[in-house]
Amino acid sequence: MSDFLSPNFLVFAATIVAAFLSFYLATGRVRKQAIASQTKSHSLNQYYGFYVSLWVLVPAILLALIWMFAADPMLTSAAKARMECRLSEPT
Amino acid sequence: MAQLVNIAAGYIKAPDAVMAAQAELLRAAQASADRARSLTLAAVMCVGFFYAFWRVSPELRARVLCEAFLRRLFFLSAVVAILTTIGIVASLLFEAVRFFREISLFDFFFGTHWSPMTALRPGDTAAADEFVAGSSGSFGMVPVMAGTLLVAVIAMAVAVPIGLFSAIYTSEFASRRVRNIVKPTLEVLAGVPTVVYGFFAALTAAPFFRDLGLVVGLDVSSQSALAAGGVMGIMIIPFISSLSDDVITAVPQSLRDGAYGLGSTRGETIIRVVLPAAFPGLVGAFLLAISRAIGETMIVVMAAGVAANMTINPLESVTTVTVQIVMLLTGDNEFDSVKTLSAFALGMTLFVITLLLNVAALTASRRLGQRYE
Repeated sequence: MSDFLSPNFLVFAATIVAAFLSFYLATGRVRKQAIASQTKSHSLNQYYGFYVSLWVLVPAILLALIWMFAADPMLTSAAKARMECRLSEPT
Repeated sequence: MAQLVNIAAGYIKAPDAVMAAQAELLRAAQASADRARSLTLAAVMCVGFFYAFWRVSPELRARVLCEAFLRRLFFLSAVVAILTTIGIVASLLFEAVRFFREISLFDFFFGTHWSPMTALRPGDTAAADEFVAGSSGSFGMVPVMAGTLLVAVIAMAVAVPIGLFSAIYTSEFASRRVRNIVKPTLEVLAGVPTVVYGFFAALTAAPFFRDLGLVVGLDVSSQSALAAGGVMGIMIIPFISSLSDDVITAVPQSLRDGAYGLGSTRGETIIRVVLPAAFPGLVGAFLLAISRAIGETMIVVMAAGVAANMTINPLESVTTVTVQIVMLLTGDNEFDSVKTLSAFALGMTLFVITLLLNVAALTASRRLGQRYE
């Protein structure tokens, strides 16, 4: 697999696509509902799009950041523990 | 451990089978962690999406919610700058404390000899071992600080008169047309990269001063403090002149009118009324300029010396704190030798000094505002 299409990059790209997709889904949904219920929506349609996109992006970004700072040290310390275990065994 | 991580990432080859196996395990763990992260992210996005999508309806006040989010984002952006500063200070402090565990505070701040030893690793050779054990290096920052102050004083001696006079000219005498040409030109000087000033100092100013010294029969070092300080002074002229100009322009016109009304001439008005009124602001501008001169790196790296001389003779070569930090941290060296750590102690001292200067400058210029507004 080429570097460009590494799994992590695909996840990143999918996140962006998901954000855009949810924008259009949300604007479509609120437009349809407003027509169906014959009411005027509170905000402009695009704000509903932004709202849903934010709910897709922000928790994911926060989680990715936390993961970045938490996971690597955990993996390394686990490997260290394995190493020490291995070294203390008689060979 | 770092080695294992590097092996797993494929940067270096495993030295033996045990390491290779361990690295393989680590790599597998990393890969599965990556997969787990991707899946978790997807799940979180789905949950977020369905929650928000389900809430979307014409009654939902989406604009208000979006704006609340933006407000928080703006707040966070403001906090980022502060947090970064705190982080920098914390890391400086942390390393400086490690340094002061080896070298006493007294030796560092009052020692008069600066010659950090090369960062040999104990164990490289027997000689190196002996060298490291037998000598702690000399880390007295007085000569380095003296050099810094000398260069800064020379810079200020060049910049203050020229900057102040040009500020008086642009704010009090110049016609609007001349002012509109002179001020932007001076500010262009502020945009010249300091590297350019650096090689101007090293290749043009330093030989010039040396030749001048030969003409009058003085022995001027080719890396004299005079050359570095002089060019640094030119660098901070626009800084001083534009700040001073603002300060002088801010003096209320009523003060000038009053002085003229009492029969004083233009010169008397400026010397007796305008400058005293602007004094706190001018002091603030000068202090900011000093803190820039002290922290300036590129010019002194190129034009000032490396050896720490304890001298106040501007014709000799001196070294500065910033030069020493550059010397200590460029090239390959261990990050836990005393030599390397001393750079952080120097940086910490420099930071504290410029911080105090900036605070003093802020208080000084704030006082001007309080008096006349």
